[in-house]
Amino acid sequence: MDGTLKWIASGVVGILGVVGLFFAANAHDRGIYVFGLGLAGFAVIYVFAQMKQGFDARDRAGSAGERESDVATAGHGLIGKVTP
Amino acid sequence: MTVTALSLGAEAEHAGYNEAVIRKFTVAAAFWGVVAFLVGVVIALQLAFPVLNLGLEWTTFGRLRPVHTSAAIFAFGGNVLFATSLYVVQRTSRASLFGGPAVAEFLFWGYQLFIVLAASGYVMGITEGKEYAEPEWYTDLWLTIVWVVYLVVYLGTLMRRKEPHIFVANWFYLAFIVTIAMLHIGNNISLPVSLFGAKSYSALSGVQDAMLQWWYGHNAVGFFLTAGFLGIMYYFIPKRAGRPVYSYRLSIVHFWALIFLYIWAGPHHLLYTALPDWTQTLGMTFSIILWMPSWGGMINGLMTLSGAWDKLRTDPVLRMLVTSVAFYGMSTFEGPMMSIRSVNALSHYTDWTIGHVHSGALGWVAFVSFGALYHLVPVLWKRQGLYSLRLVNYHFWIATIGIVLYITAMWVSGIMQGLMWRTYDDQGFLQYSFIETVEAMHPFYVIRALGGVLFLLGALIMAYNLWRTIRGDVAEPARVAAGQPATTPAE
Repeated sequence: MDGTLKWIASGVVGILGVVGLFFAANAHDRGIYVFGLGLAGFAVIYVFAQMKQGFDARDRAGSAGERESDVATAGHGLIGKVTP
Repeated sequence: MTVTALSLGAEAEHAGYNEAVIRKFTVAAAFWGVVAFLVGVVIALQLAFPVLNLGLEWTTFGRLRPVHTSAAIFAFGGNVLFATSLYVVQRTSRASLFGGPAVAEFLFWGYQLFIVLAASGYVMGITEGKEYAEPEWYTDLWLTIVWVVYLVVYLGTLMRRKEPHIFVANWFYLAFIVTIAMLHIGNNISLPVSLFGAKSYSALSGVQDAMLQWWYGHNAVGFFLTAGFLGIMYYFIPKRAGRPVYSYRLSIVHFWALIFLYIWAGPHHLLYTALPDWTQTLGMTFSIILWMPSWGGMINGLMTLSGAWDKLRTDPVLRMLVTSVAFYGMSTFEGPMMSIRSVNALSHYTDWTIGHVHSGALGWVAFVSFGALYHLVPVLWKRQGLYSLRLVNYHFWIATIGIVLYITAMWVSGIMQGLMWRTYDDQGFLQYSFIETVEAMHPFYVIRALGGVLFLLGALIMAYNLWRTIRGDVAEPARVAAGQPATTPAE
């Protein structure tokens, strides 16, 4: 469920970022200009952070899998990591 | 049983609590706290020495004052409330945050965006002109989105709790979240001049607008600065003291009485105005009745230390938390007293009000927040204890002296100001001109600024202490090795 929510949240925030750019482009004053750029900046940071965390989680899962594989190998009488 | 912060952290990891977002809110709280106090010192010095306005529109008192108030209330206080509420709801429900890390991240960065939008707007002169509700319509809309997500995350976590009972701190936090949503939307109903323009006009006007504004304004105090921080009190004081809440039944009475009564008290901000007389009396009456739940809560907080008073000698963090409750009692006595018409006739529009606000903001809100941050950081970063308890002690005393200087200066200045305004000579003319009152207050403005400098210094010491704690440094290794109780929160 968390994975699905991550996609939904990133999608919604991405749309908000584009809306922010429209606001900045059409701004009549500095307030809306800053708001629009702020929203776009927020969207970029948020979506990239989600991507980074996704890759980090995959790396963690990968290294955990490697450790399990090493343990299984050691169980068969081989010491250390087998490299191709 | 006493367990270390380290084992509490390990337990959190095992239970799958989302602590990453709480760590972010904790760091943000410390950062915004320093910013808020720094801007406060700047504007206090501007009042004493107007040349410090620098002749620039962006740095004038009028623009920096809302930066200070919003930074203190919404940036510092808000981040503390986010951090502690999300921490407490997970621990007391034994459930991880609803929505997962993605939604929690949205909450954190979305709230920081709100702070930046509000502050940059004030400096540029973009304001609705409503005290504590200055942000314009687009910032208000953004906060509404963030706040609804906060409510969903909080409620969702409570709904999937593994504990049948909802701990009382959660009731206070929930009242804070729900009521702030209601107040924020109610007080910000306005029509923008253009979709791409910052300016908007309030849906109401005249006395109705004023009534709505102070319904919001007073309940921002009641629910943001009181109910939310009472949630902190009911969780962190028992935790730190290693004692149960003195009377759980009293805490429930405290909750329902407080939330029922507070919402009616707003009109006391509009005594002697065009507001109907009966409405003013209603506001005054409910304010006076508020003495009861406020002091009931204070007694409950203080008496939680029954059997553990000795810890005040050894644990400056607990001392900070308990002192905050004493300030809560003091400011909730003073507030109802100032709402009495005849007292208000003297105090309103004077520095007495500023002194009152700061005894609550610095003594109650900031001290209970400091205590919570000192407790949280070792747990969240899985450290044995704080970097230095001696620095906490320095922080406590420096900040306390700062508060005392601040509030006594403002009391003296305010009462003098009120008395000078109402003094007539024997021919019926006003005895003093306005500028004479300003000249008389000048020494007290300098003392107030000095108090603010001390408070800021204390916050900087805290920021340094927390930073070293996060790095894993220990200034007093012998103490930590001995496992003295002051370093370790009790389970």
